[in-house]
Order: sequence, then C-alpha cells, then structure tokens
Amino acid sequence: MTCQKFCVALLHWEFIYLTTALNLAYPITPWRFKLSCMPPNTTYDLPTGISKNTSNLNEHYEAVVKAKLNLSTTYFSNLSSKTTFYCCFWSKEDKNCSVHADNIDGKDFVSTVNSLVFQQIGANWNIQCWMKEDLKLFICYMESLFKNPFKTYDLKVHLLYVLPEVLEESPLVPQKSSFQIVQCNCSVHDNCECHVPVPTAKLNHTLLLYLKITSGGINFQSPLMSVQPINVVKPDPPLDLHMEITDAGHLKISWSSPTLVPFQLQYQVKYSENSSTNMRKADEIVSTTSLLIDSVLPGSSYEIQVRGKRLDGPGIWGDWSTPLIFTTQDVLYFPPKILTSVGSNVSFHCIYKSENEIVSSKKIVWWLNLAEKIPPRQYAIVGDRVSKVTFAHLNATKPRGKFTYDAVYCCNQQECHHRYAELYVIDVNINISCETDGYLTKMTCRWSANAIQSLMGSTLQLRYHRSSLYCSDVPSIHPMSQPKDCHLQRDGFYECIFQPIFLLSGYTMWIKINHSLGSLDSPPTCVVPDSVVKPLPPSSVKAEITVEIGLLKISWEKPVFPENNLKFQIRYGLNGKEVQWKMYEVYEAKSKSASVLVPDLCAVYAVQVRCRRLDGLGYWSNWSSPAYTVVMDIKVPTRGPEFWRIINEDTTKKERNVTLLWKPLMKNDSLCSVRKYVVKHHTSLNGTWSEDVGNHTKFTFLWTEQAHSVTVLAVNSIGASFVNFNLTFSWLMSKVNSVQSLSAYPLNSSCVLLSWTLLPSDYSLMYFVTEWKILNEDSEVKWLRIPPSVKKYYIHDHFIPIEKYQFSLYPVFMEGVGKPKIINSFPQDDIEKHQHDAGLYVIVPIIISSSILLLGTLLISHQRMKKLFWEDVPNPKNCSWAQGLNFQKRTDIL
Amino acid sequence: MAPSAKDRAREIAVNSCLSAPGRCLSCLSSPCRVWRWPLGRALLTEPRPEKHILGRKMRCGPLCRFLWLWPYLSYVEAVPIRKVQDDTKTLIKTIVTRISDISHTAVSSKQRVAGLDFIPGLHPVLSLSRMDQTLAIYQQILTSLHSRNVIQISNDLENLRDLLRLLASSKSCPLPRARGLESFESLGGVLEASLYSTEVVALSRLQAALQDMLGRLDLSPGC
Repeated sequence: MTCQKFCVALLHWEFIYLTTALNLAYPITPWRFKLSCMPPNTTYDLPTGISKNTSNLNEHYEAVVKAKLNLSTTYFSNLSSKTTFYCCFWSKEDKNCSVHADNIDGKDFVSTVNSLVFQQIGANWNIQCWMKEDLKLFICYMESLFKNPFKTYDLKVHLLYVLPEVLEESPLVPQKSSFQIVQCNCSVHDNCECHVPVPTAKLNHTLLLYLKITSGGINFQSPLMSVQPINVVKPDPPLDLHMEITDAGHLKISWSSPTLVPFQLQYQVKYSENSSTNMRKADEIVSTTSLLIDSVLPGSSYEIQVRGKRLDGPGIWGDWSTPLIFTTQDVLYFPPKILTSVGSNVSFHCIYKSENEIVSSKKIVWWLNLAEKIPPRQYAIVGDRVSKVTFAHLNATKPRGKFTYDAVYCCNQQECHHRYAELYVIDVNINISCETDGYLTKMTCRWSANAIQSLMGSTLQLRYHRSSLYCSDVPSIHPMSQPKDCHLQRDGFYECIFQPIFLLSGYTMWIKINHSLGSLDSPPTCVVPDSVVKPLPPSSVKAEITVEIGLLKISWEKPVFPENNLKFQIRYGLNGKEVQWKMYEVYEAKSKSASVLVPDLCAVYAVQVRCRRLDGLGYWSNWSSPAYTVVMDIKVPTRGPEFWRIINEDTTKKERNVTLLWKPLMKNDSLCSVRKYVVKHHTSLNGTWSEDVGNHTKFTFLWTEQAHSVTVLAVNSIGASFVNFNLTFSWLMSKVNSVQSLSAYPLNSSCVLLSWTLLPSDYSLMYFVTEWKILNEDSEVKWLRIPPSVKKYYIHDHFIPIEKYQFSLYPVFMEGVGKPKIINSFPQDDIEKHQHDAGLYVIVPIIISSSILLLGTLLISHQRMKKLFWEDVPNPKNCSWAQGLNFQKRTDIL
Repeated sequence: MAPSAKDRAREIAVNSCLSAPGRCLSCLSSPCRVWRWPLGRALLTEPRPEKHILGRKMRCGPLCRFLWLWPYLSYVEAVPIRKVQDDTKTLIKTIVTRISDISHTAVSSKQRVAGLDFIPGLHPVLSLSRMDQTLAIYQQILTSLHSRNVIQISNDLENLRDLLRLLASSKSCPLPRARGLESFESLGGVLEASLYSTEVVALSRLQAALQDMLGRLDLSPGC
C-alpha cells in the first residue's frame, strides 16, 4: 500500500511541473473556459512506466480516470469543510490545467496537470466572462457541470476583484485585503452571474479577479484570473433583423447595429434555405449590416440568425439574434413596388412558380390591372426564369377608388397569380413661386401639394441650395442641400420664409417627397430674390382736377426699395360702389406725377397707383390706398343759363312785369358750381346795368321801354360765364308774325310732335321758344328752346291724354321776341275720341230725324186712311134716326 | 427683356465658377501671366518654366490646366458685365438706403468717437481689392454685432463682395478672397462693452464708404 502511494506520488511528480512564477494569473480568454477543483491528496492508481510525453499519457490516463470515476462521489462526501481544493482553469483550446495554490498569499506555485483528471473526478464549472456592450459592466457567468460529484445545494459564489488605478502591462498581484468582493446571483439551476462595475476610464486596465465557491460545506477557490475589459466586449444581438427581395431579385438580409457599441462590428450570418427543389445552409461573416443572397427562389423558406463581434481587435461573439423566418411567395416580383415620377421609365421582374415548377420566362405574359394586356414588345427575358416588363414615359396614376396604384400582374399564359406588383406614378411637377417683400429682407416661397395628395403616407420637404450669385440656366439638385421649414396655409399652399436673404444669390429649390417606397424630387427651380421683388405700393398718392387746365392729376412717392428703375400703373374711375377703372401707365422711372384727360371734371374720381420694376422682373406692388379728387370750380361756367319769360301785362298801364325763368346750370356747364346768377339789362334809355340774383332761378323786372334786352350770366368762384343767352323784349317785334302755321301731333303720352311753317321775314331769327300748358288750368307753363333751323320738334313731357293743351311757338329775333302762334291741341287719344263722338253726333240726329219723319208719315197716313174709309159712312150719332139708339147693344135680340 | 441664349450660357459658367471659387480663382492668388485670347478674353496661366523641356512626348498638363480653367474663361463673359455693374451699383444704393432707414445711424460729424480705430475710416478706396478688403472688415464687424438690424446688411455685403470679385475677374484682376482683421478676436471686449457705439460708427462709416465706392465704380477702378 505504501509502495502504491509512493508510485502515485511519483506519477504526480512526473505530471506536475512546478514553477515559481510569482504573480501569474490565468488570462481570461474570449471563449468559454472551465474551472475544475479537487482535493490536494487525491491519488490514482496509475500504471508505472508511463512516459512523460503528455500526448501519449493523456490517452492512457483517460482510461485510468474513467475507472476511478465511480469512487469520486463517495470520496467528496467524506471531505470536511476545512479541506483545501486545488483548482485550475483549462479550456478546449488548452487542456492543460494550471493548478495554483496559495496564490493569493504571494507564495504561488503553479503546476500543470491534464484537465481530464479534474474533469472526471473533480468539481467542474463552465465559466465565461465578458464586458457588456455599454462598457460599464463586467459579467462573469458560471454554470455547474452536470457531472459534478458533490451536492450543489446551498451554492454561494463570490467574486473578488481588484482594478488597479495605474495602467500596467503586467501588474503585481495586490494584497488580499485590496480585493473587493461581490456576491454573484445564482439560480436554482446552479447558474451564477457576477457583476463587476468598471469605470469607463479603466477599460484598458487589467482586472484581477478570482472566485470563491461554497457548496455543500465545501469551499472552492479559483486561481487568479486577469483580463483587460476592453478585450472581452460582447455585443448585444443585432436589432431589426429583416429580409426583403431587392429590386434586383436578391434576398437582402439587413439588421441594425447594437446602439451602444462604440466600435465597428463584424457580423456572422447563418441562414438556411428550404424549398421544394433545393435545401442549402450557409454561414458568412460580413462587416456591413446587410447581406445579399442571390438566386432567391419563389415558394422557399429562409431562416436567418445574426450575431456580432468587434471588427478590429479582440472581442467576444455576441449572442445569436432570434431566428427570423422569411417565406417567399409563389410569384416573386422585384421590385414588388415602384414609386416613380411622371415621364420616367421603370421595369418589373418576375419569377413565377406554378405547381412546384418554375415557369419558363418565355411563357410569362404581363397584365395591367387585370384589364389590359401589356404588349409583348415591352417584355424582356432575363435568363430562363426571370421575365421583365418595362414601362416608358409613364403618366400619373389615376386613383381607382381607394387604390392609388396600378397593379402589374405576371401571368403564366392564361393564368395570373393573385399577387401583383404595385406601380405608383406621381406627378412631382410642383411649382414653387417666390416673392421678395418690399423691404428686401424676406423671401416667401409657396407651393401646393395637391398634385401628390394621392400618395398616402408621404412627407414633403422643401430643400434648397444657395449659390453665391445668380442662378444657372439649368438648375440641378445639389448634393449639399438644406431643408427649409414650411407651414401649411388655409388655402392649401405651403409657405416657407427665407429671412434674412442674399439678394443676388441663386436659391435652387425642390420638393423632396419621402415615402416608404422611396423618395422623389420635384424638378428644381432657381430663384434670385432680387428678381422676384414685390415692391411696396407708392405712397403719398394724391389726386386733383387741375384748375384752368382741367386734367386729372395724380402724384405719388416711389417706395424706398427697390433701387431699380420702376414703372407705374394708375387706375382711376368715378367714385361709386363699383368703380369702372381705367388704366394709365407711366414708364418714366423718375416720374412722380401724371395727368390724364377725364370727361367729367366735376365728379369725384378715385385713384390708385402701383409700381413694378421697369425691366419687368418681379411683381406689381399692391395698389396704393385710394386717393379721391375734390369737386371744385375748374373754369368759369361754359355758358349762362337758358332763360324765358312770363309777361304779366297791365292793361291800364303801358308797362309789363316780366318774370325771367331759367333752369339751374348743371355741373358740366357750371364747372363745377354756380355761386350766383347775374341779370344784365340793357335799354336805350338807361344803358346797361346788372342785378345780382343770387342762386335764384327767377327774376322779375318792369318792362317799360320800347325795347329791353336782358342777359343772364352764371358766376362761379373762377368768374362769370362768357357765353350767354340774350333776350330782347320789344313792343314793335311782338307784333311781327313769322309763324304761318303750327300743328301738334301727340305720338304717345310722353311725346308730342310740333310742326310749323314760317312766313318770310326780314328779321334774323335766333331761335324758337315753345311753350305748352294745360288749357284752362292755372298750371305751370313749360318751355323749350328750339334751334332756328328745324321745322318740327319732338317735345318730351308727361302729357295727360284727356287734357287739352295749349302750344305756343315764339320766334325769337335778334331784335326781339316775335308774335307767337298759339294752338289748342289734344293728345292723340282725345282726338280719336272726339272723332268717334262726331260720328255719334251725326248719326243720332239723323236717327231722330228719321224717326220723327216716320212718325209724321204714319200720322199723315193714318189720317188719310181714315178719311178714305170713313168719309161715306155717316156717323149714326149724327143721324136723326139713330137718335137714342145704343149701337153697342146686340140687335139679334130684336 | 428675356435673356438671350448666349447670356444664359454665360450665367451657367458664372455659377459653375462661383460655386467653386477656389477652382476658378485659385490661380489669381499666385503669380499669373495674362494672355490675351484672340477674341479678347483673358486667359490666365501660370508662368512658364524658364527652361524648355525637350522631347516630343505630349504633355497633358497644359491641356488639363486649360480645361480646368475653362469655367473661369467662360465666366469672364458669362454674365453681361453691364448687368454685373448695374447690380453692383443697385446693391450699394440698397445698402446705403438700409443704413439710412436705421434710425440711430445718424452720427454727428462734429464729434469724433475714440477707440474704434479698427473700423475702417473714410480713406478713399481706389482699387477693387481695397474695396473687397474694406468690405470684408465691415462684414466681419457687422456679423459680430449679432444685431437684427445688420444681419441683412451683412448678407448684402457678402453679395456685394461676390459682385466685386466678378468685376475684378472681368478685368483679369487677381482678387483673392479678403479676410477680415486677424486681430479681430482680441477686440471682443471692445465690442461687448460698446455695442451701440460700434454699430453706429460702423454703419455710419460703411455708408460713407459705399457712397464713395459708388462714385468710383463709374470711373472704372483698377485692380
């Protein structure tokens, strides 16, 4: 027995390579490693003469330890809590186990033992340590191996660590007291996780740590481990893993990088394809966040997983992402949806699988909206399986109900699969119009999105690029562009404001339409703010009718900006509810006023002025606030009033009262008001004198002399009228008869035609005056001046048909008023009535006469007949024999 | 009047040049030799080497340089120079009016303001390069004022300097982009302490300087 123990000791001595490597800690590897422990006095019966060659030894040794396996459980149960275990680390890559003893006390010795010894008879744990991707937490995870021979109830694990303050390449092992301790969280499955917070600044420092495990009353202590946290960073699984068929027909796997990782990652992608005709698995490592798989098949299932690891430098592979399964349809369109603009050319590809067989591309036909077969000339064959259809010069999609796209179908001869590709054609010709304000500090651009409202879910953004000066002739979308905030207005337009502006810079603008299907750009337009100025309206606008000249004069002040030459536009019109505007343009940049001819000098005119750059650039300003003319006297009255007279003759005296009557002058004649009327007299005896009548229109004076001439003048603020009417009252002339006949023909109730003939006369006729009034009534006498050359005249008035009118026609000579011709006349209806009455007056007497005659004739005839028949028969009463006889009595009685 | 096709072609060239001023005008900062083009255009090339290199091998350098300078060559006549001149004068008038509209810029000529010597004085500016230099300083000062009143004027000065560079190019003048005052940052304390004085004096002097430039532009200033 003693010999046997000695042999085992020798064997151990053969295996244990004692070193005096002080402060040597186990370097934590990026991969899993194992911790194995066993009591120090464990011995095995090993065959003698074993070679020191490790490789040969291992094989033989495995056989030996397997034989001893059943003993170990019993052995562990008999150990006391004070037993010190030798523990070592090993891994698949390095199966030599480095046994450390008293390593914390500074008297370490390390011996190398084949790990199989520990694996079979010792206590074993799998350990992995890593740094979380947020670079704040260091985690060590350990799990007990299933074959652990001891009881694992009451498992307690502590991790003791120290993170030196100083960055050292090979740090000294610190004192035991300097280690900090954290308790690890253990689950019922004997899995424990230990967390060590690591400051960001110490990521490159060497972290020294070891484990203390207590289980079933037995203490295990791991050897010292060392690691630089930055070298064992373990990224989280990639995010947003998804797959799609690309426009080119590839299966694109893409994902997002974990957000907290501070360095670039490499990714491992493993995928499997399962289709009715094919099955393949692959594993690829890429440095981008996507992977393309070609030759994607319809009706196939793909399962994908991705994990990440630091690209440059050491690191740990992160966990695999959750598997993602993607199944392709029986008909594959690529791209499945196209968003494009009007006028562009697009193509769809298709692979069609029918009854587990891929349809030959030659047999594929294309339909649009299941209603229209696309002409074969638009097809193209891309290989045996892929068919392509091309649409050229596309028109905008017309929405059909809720469907805002065209459905493109790939069909196998007469059979179309229910799946289709979607084609969205959007009219992106969005007109952007800009306007610079009158202060040249703000440019407002407006655009309407009505044309693209059919594209639901799209967002619009105005982008622009500013060139230092001017615009290019062909504006283009610049790669360096800026977005501009625009706000939707009530009128449906978006409004974007640039302030301050660069007046002469070229702003190239376009609308970017972002949609989940892609983005489109409207045709760019370039605007120089200086060329789209809308000036402020002219100020200090005044309007007046010029005195004496009689023109409408408008004056204004040009706006402060722009400094360019301006042209002006004037609109004017009679003031009223609806002004009928007339336009007048002024092209003289320096002009500050303009005069226009207006027909009515005595009316209120409304005037407005606006301006625009003379070179035609920019916009018209708004109209200025209206200015109004003031009605005032422009000139002396064009003429005096027309007047007539009423003569009241006093038969007892040889004098007459003459009352002059005139109609007030209208504005057109008075220009524009009458301040007073003046009656100017002239007689041979008294000469000339004037009388101020004021604003009255009637004036009476006494006519006493043979001849008396009067003139009525109109006076306004400018002066008295130059052209006036004269009237001479002459006793002599009042007897001159020059009107031979006068007739009045009523045409209707508002018009009577006067017609007359003249006698030859030696006097010079100035004009006629006709008077009319209702006969036998004390009604107002109306009068009218008639030119001397006419022979008939239409009098317009309100004539009462049943009334008799008296018409008088006065010839007015230079020498005086002649003798009038006076007639009484009736309106037409009255005359006709009288004509009817005249017939009645004739017929009734005739009838009465005839009746009397007939009655007379009858009376005479009666008398004659009486005489004829009764002359020979005597009256019995006159006979003597008939005396006393009653002839009325019957005689037959006799 | 609608611009002709030739004018439009010129404008394209102007923009290509203006959008990459370094490319167009980089030669202007170094010694250049001016060659007269047969059609009257000015061609800028670098000085030829003193020694002639023998050999028949074709040198692509001159050709490349020619192509490289082509936008600039086109640019000389790209925008009608008359339009550039008119725009320059109009913009100067606009800035002058803007300053006049700012109510507090009327400074008494009797009173001299001390301590603001970094603001250019009323010295006659005879050349385009001096104009550009002066405007650069004013632009630097106005930008640093952060006043709402003067931001627009600062932008106008930017445009005005671009126009002056265009005019200079039309005369084959080397006009490197002028920088402002190098010692300007050290004046931050002055600006902070006397913002009002600086704004008033700067705008007042700028107005006078612009009116002076307006007169000199009619006299065809030199480089």
